[in-house]
Amino acid sequence: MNAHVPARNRQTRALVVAFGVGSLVAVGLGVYGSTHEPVFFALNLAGFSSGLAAKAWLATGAFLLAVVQLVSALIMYGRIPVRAPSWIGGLHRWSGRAAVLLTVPVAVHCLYALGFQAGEPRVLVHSLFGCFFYGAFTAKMLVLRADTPNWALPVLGGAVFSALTALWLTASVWFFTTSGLTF
Amino acid sequence: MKKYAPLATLVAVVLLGAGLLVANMLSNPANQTTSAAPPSAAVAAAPSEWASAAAAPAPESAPPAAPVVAEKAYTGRSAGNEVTVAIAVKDGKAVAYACDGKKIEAWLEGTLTGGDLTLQGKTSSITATTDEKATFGTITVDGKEWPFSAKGVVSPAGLYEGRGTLAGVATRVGWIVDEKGNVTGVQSGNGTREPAPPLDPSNPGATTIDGTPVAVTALDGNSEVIPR
Repeated sequence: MNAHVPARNRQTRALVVAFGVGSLVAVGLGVYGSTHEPVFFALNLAGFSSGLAAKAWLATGAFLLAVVQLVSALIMYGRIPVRAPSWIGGLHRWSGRAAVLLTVPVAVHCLYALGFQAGEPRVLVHSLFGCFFYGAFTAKMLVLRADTPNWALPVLGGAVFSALTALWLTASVWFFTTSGLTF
Repeated sequence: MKKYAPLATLVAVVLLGAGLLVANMLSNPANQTTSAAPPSAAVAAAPSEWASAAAAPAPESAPPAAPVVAEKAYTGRSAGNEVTVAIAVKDGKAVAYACDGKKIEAWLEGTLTGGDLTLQGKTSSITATTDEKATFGTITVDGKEWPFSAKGVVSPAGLYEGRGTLAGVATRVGWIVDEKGNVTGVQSGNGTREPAPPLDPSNPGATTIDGTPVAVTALDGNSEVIPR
């Protein structure tokens, strides 16, 4: 029994560090977004009709990759009755990296050009989840190689996926339904 | 290496984000004249193209003269009625908005030293002299220079700024309400300008564009504006 106590302590410490850093990231983004004066200006990406269309499609790409994340994670945890192929781990890692990198230009535009806004429910929810997403993502990255309880990784992964879905629904889907499927 | 792969992912995200942020800041037209200098210093360090048109600013070593007016708003027009002009001053600071109600607009900020107003926008400037009753001077917008006069007014006359998200496009609106209650304004978003939606100065909270609410603020001389 005694031998387990240091292990438990180590696990708790790793969790506290991961959640602490993640919370700081989320709160930090929120503070930057609300104190920074929105400039209503941002670089446009080549090939899109507007910065907004570019954001909507980048986020859609990230969301599709996030679905890959969810399915590959379920396979790895044995929740889908198929034999996990040997490359499933690599697929999960690289689709995740691609997904989060796709979100970065979107988030930079949100934070720099628009900031944290609470003017209407859709925008408030989007702002909150935007901050939460990067906090949860940071915590998940920190938990991956640390000695933490088994529940930590799927819970954080689920949080990241849910946050991205909420972000996608409150922005890309909203954009496509108001402006049409424009590139 | 494998142990640090998640950290490498985090670092990659941070680096990409920081790189994009810097690229945005560098290419932001509002930053190109004011670069890293704080707003007050940017006003003192007059860019040459308008310094020639402006009255020479007081030497920096001399103590600035106390502003002749503590807080006041002025509205008026250029001599040929090309643009409507509104200026608000408070505690030695000043903001101004000028527009033609259609396509031309300018946001400016600057200072009131003694009776001398000096304001600067992205492609606009104002130099004027002022007292409690009126302001007279010259406004330059996009290379065109007009003399203007503006009367001291009381609320709800003055200048108003609105911000909203219209079909996903961050939209900024400027309105000038003159002493008779006439409203002139321009809305801009996504690089285009058009006539502003109506503003009811007695109920600015009810302002909408095509049904989308717009947050409207009455500006005083101390307000932060983004020069444009």
